[in-house]
Amino acid sequence: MYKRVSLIFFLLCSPMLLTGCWDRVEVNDLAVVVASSFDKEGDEYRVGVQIPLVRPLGGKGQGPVFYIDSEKGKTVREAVDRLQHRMSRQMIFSHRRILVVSEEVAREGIRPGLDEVARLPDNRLTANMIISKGKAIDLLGSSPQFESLSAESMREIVKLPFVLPVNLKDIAQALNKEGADPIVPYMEVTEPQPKGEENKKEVQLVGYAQFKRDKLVGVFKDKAADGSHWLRSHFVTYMTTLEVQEGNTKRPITIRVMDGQSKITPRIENGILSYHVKVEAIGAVQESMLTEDLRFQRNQDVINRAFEKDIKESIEAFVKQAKEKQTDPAYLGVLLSRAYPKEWKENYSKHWRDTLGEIPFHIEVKASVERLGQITENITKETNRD
Amino acid sequence: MNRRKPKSNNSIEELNLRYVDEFKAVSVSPSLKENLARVKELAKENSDFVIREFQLEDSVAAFMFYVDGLASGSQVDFALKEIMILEGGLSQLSAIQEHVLAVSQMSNADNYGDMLIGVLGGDTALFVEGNTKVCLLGMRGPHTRGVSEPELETVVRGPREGFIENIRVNTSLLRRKLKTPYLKMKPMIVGKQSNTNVVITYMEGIVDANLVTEVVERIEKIDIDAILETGYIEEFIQDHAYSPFPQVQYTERPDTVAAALLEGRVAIMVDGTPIALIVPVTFWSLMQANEDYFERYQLATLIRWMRYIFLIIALFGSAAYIAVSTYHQSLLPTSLLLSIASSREMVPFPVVVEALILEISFEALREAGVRLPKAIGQAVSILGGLVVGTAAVEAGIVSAPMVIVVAGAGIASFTIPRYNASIAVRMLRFPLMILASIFGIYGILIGLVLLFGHLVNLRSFGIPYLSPTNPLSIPDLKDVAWRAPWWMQKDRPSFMPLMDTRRMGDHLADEIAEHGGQSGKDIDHKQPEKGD
Repeated sequence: MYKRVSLIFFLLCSPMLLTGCWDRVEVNDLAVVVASSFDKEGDEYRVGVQIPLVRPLGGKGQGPVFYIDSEKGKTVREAVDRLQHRMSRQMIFSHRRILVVSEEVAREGIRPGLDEVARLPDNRLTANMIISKGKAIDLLGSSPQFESLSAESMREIVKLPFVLPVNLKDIAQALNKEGADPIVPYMEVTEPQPKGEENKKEVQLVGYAQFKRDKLVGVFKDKAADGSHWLRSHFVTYMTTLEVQEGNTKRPITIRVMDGQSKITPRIENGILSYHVKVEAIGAVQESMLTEDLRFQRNQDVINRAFEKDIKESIEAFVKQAKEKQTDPAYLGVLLSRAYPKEWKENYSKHWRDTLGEIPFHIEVKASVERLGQITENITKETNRD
Repeated sequence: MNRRKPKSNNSIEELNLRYVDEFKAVSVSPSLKENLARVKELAKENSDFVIREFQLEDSVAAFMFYVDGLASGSQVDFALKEIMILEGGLSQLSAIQEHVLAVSQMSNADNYGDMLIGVLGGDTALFVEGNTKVCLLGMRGPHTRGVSEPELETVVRGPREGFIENIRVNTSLLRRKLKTPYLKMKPMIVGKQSNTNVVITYMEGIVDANLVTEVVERIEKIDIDAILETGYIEEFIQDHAYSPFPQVQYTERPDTVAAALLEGRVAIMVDGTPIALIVPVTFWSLMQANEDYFERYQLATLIRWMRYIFLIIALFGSAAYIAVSTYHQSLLPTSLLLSIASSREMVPFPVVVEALILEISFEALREAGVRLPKAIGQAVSILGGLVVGTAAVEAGIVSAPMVIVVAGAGIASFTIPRYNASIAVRMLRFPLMILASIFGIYGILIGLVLLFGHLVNLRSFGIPYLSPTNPLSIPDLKDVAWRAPWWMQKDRPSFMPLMDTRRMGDHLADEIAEHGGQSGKDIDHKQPEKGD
């Protein structure tokens, strides 16, 4: 009895040794990595880290607010370890919200780099990955005006309401599934117009990187990027500009897609697979250069038709680009496997990528512009001069 | 106690009595001379003892014995006059009492113990030749001070009177609240040297009789030289002597005592202190202020929830800061982590040392503020705010977030309405801080488990300390999870053993519950039409 009690007591006390003051790290002995970059250099990776510099409160003098350093290594962690040897503070990665991967690395595959992310518990799978045009470390080195850290700036951009939310977990899930490919925000460094101070560079979202398995094969831009909004699980708002024929000239009108619903249903009829995309959209006029009064139903009808056509074109552009490269960013395979699990297993899953290119799409769009704004016609219309 | 046989002819000194209680063995002698010798012996080297010898009309010797300052001089003079102009023949004490003395409070004692307790309590003793009894005239002197607003428990809405040091005034304050003969006040005397009057008060018909017996028995067992404050009694009668949590509630407000009595609790009042004890007590009742019941229930509910939140902050605030900033930096938002890091950049100490420095100086400031005279107290708060708050941060000894956390936890601890409960919370945060500094959040959880384990074990006079939440009693949550409006609190707390559980009649309460208030639509508000 006594033996048992002492055993239980020992077992109860032993977890106390799992943690303890030897794990203690003061905040001031930490280098908080807020973003890291992966570039390729020869056979090795060049890993860059962005670390905000902590300076005493109320300290005078304007210095750089962050610090970027990079090091080569065969693996990501090897490079990080080399970096650590020249840092007096211990790097922690739990606050890393942004991983910038260069296009070059992404073309060869992001899978090796992702291993490091999920293996260590202090990494967050809610972090965002960004594919950079050109060198990844240049994105870290950009100096955006609004935020003091470029990492923060990139994070805020990918969190904007019109950007598809994609985090590491989504990417990993897409990579693990047959019949799904990730798409990842694609960014570049740009200079503000007109040029302000020297070396001031901004980051900007260009589109979404198109992946085939873990390899980058293209970028969805413009129309195709808009189309991607319709084929994801949640609709994300965006803005589009239509050109409406009015008399002899085409006049532009800008519409924000306020709300939308899309339903993608795979159908197998007579052994032929097709996808039916049913889209319903509600738009709000942001700006109109039309001369017609939008109050009239016939004018609205014209706009609605043009709006529908625009949405349809964007979806088609997206689907076309996806098909060309045999990628599946819309999780079409997953949808099929849910609707027809048996057929998916027997007929499609083996050579899904080969079939992808030939699947017909039937796109049906129902769109209407419901919000016309405070005015329905241009306030400076010529007829007003009477 | 009564080992000694009464030996009437021995002098007090020979009897070698040490406590007033032991004087009960000495009976009053029929010989006035002997009595006088004894009383004079008692009055030796006692400047405030007054012995007034006189003779009744037919040369019967008598004397009065009282303590100057306790008895009312003018009343004694008046009584003396009445006896001295006595028209003869009435040498029997009983006859004097019945026919002569115009004193309303009167009692008899046949031994020195009772006589001394009376006299030292302010009575005047009248010895008359040939009687084996002594008459105690209740002509007590002026009270020490007037009833004033309690300083400990101030209210915005509610009565402004508080108990004072005189127990008779205190019982009268309580009696004014509950005008019923079923409000019982059981007298007791505790303390061998102090012979302090203690009154145990309860509502007969509501309270569980066993509880009263238990309280009386626990107090009877106290064998101590003096009771100078209720704290003496509290430490003797509580169930768990080593617990930091108060198992007895104290208050200086008659309305709080009355409310407790109506819930079937027992109050203990002690002469010489404005504090009354209430037993049994639960943890949640220490989170309740009397004003909760006077204010609108929505406000009271909000304030109560706020108190619960602040209780958690007071207990865990500093510990959580230590744990998060030294072990779990990942839990903080990045910008907060960076701002903590930048404010700590100059600080030479680890977070836990920094926290202890601040917590201890905060406690020192608080203690200095309580002990010092009010005029100097202000200087302390200025010094504390300036020196500790600003200068220490600027000098880089402590960091600004730490000051915020410690000050926040300090203020949070003051929102706990019972001072003794807030002391318990303030004490317990030190071990929690140490645990947090050694084991991180894991340590806080260990502390929390131990704390809860201790709390569920506690009992106050047999009532589980955490009732009504542990053990759960859902109907009683109306006064814990929120403060239900009065018309919903039809029943008294059911976790208390009670004789009568109903607080109110059904009729009006049901009507209000049904219609959302008393409807005024039947009243005709129209002005009668004026006739021309």
